[in-house]
Amino acid sequence: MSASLFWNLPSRGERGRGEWQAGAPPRGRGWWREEREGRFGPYDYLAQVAHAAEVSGFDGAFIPWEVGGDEPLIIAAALARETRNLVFVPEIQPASATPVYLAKMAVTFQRFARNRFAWKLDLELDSAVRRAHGDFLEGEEWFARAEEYIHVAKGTWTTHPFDFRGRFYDVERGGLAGPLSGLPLPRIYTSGRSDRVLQAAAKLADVHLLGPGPVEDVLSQARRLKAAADKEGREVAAGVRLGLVTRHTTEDAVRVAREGSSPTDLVGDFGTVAARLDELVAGGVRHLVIDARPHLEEAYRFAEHVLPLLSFRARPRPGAPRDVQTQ
Amino acid sequence: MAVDVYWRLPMHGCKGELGIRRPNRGDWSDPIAGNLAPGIARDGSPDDNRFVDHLADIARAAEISGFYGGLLPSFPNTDDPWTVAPAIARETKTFHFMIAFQPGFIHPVHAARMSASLQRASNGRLVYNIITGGGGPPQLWWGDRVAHDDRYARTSEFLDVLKGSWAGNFSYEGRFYRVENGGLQSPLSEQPIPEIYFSGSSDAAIVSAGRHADYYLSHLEPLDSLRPKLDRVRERTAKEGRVAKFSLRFDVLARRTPEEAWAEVARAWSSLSKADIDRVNRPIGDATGFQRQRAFRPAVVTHYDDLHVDKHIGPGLWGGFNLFRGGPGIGVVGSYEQAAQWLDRYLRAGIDSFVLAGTPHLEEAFRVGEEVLPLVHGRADQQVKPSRPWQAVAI
Repeated sequence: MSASLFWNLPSRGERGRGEWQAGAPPRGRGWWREEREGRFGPYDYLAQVAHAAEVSGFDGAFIPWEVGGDEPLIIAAALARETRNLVFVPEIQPASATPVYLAKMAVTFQRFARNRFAWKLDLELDSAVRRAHGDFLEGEEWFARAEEYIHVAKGTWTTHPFDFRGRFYDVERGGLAGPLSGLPLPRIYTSGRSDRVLQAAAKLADVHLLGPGPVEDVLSQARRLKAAADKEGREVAAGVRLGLVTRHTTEDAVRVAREGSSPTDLVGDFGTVAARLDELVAGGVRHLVIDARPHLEEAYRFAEHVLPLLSFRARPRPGAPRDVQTQ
Repeated sequence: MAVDVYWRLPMHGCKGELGIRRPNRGDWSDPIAGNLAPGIARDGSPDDNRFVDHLADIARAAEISGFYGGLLPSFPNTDDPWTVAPAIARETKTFHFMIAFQPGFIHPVHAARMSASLQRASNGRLVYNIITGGGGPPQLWWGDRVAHDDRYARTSEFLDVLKGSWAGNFSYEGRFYRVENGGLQSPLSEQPIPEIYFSGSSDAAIVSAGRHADYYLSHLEPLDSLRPKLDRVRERTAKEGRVAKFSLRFDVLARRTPEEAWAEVARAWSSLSKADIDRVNRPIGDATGFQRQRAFRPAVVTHYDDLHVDKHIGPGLWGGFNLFRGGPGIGVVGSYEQAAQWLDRYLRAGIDSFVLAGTPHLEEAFRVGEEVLPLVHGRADQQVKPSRPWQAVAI
């Protein structure tokens, strides 16, 4: 039994940290010599978080698509060459680019970053947010397009020449060729908790991130996902994205959770948190995306205090090469 | 205003010499002797170098040789500029990324998001090369069925939406795009909108360029045919109450003497078969720019001397570069001085920017940056005083 651990990247900033570009609001009263302006930018901090995730033993970085945030595809591409093993899972809106173009951008990433790319579709985005981003499809139409989108992206990736005539997309003699062909298809992640979403995930996803909640709630969603996937004759791995606050004592964790801006799906001392994560993994949830803030410091805290308690992680074997899980 | 000089990043491999039949830098041919990025490891398999490693080297060569940035072209079989630019943004300092893309492929609200993010990743070094032409079978490869003149209408709408949504709280109802209360938020919205280099030679293109282009980007053409084209763009742009600026893209093959430069051409020419030479006369797609380029060639080409252009003005404009790679045919061949003279002729004709290239791209970036650019005079209105004088250092 094993599971993959993903660390959340702050794609919409971290309490103002990282904004050193020209025009950023001044910090403090200006009494010390300040030479950061124009020399450092928000991606310097994002890169530090990605490094922290890698150093802390995470298998991948999850990059959420946030209203007003940086574009996850750009973040992933900007950080890929500064990390070695981290898998990047940027969240993508199906209306943002054509599936052919998404495949083309992604294949370049696969080539450059040694196949460390996966992609994530949000199947439950608010419809006002979608309309603000040019996507006016609703309901079944929206899901029909999402299916066609994945079909065309995969077809472009795997088939040459690729011909397709659909409701939303047409391609003639398409498909990636030459050195752009033959690379592993990125894993497809989806997320959401409704029955309709689980039904779509059963058709489309390799991994589905269930809605956050207490362990029993997540496991019950996992059972519904399994039933939906069985109907399609497919296997879809279950995962979950959890906001985490953890400290030495539960009292401390609860106090920090009350004060802070972190999401608080899982709050407790190190042992309690590790036990909950073990229960999820034992219940079949094998992809854990952890979101804790500040992202840099909490990655280290998790690695030093929670990871050693997780029963699904390998114990250290002195002298043996480290076991790297990439998927 | 000073001239921005760009170099090209070869997005589908590069050749160590112009006349090599298959690119040996990158993985667009089966590994051949002398292959690099990836190279051949001791056991015969490809080594761990990726083509992006070489692209990063070319970008760094261009920036330290004095280029303002580089053009990242995009075709079905190339790596993609929207991934390459962020991938090497943090390894370069001043190199501006001119990303070539077709508006049909990305929704303009998302293009604004991607662009502002890339501005933040690169400290404001993104430039657009908006392409609308192409057409024919390649257009269907992309899954785009919109007809030629409609594509320009879409490009105009795309740029209206992109610019409009940049400041946020933007709604739009058009033929191709709809947005309801969307757009960027702070801090992304505080990033500058990238400069727009606009390509396209047809009437529809020039109408669209007049509205949106910061620079109208053309292939190199003989001066007599280029001037009326620039006048059309100028006139159209003035109707929009704007002032047109112009950029030219072409290859430069410059050596210490003209003889050395032409010896390079002769060596490359000897690698061509008759079929190679005939192939360039076959039409591709509905792009007007390529049709214009063909008009400057004689019907029958048997020797590289048949491809001189504008020889009465001066030696060194040559129309055979497309025999060795995709793209426009006319470029400059000659001594460093001759090459610099051609750049000056075009600057005097009203050009404000160049997008140059040479094979191999890494070494030629140094050569053109060190040997040719310093010999160009520039127009009086293009001179900028260095912020402080260089210190002479004896080595």
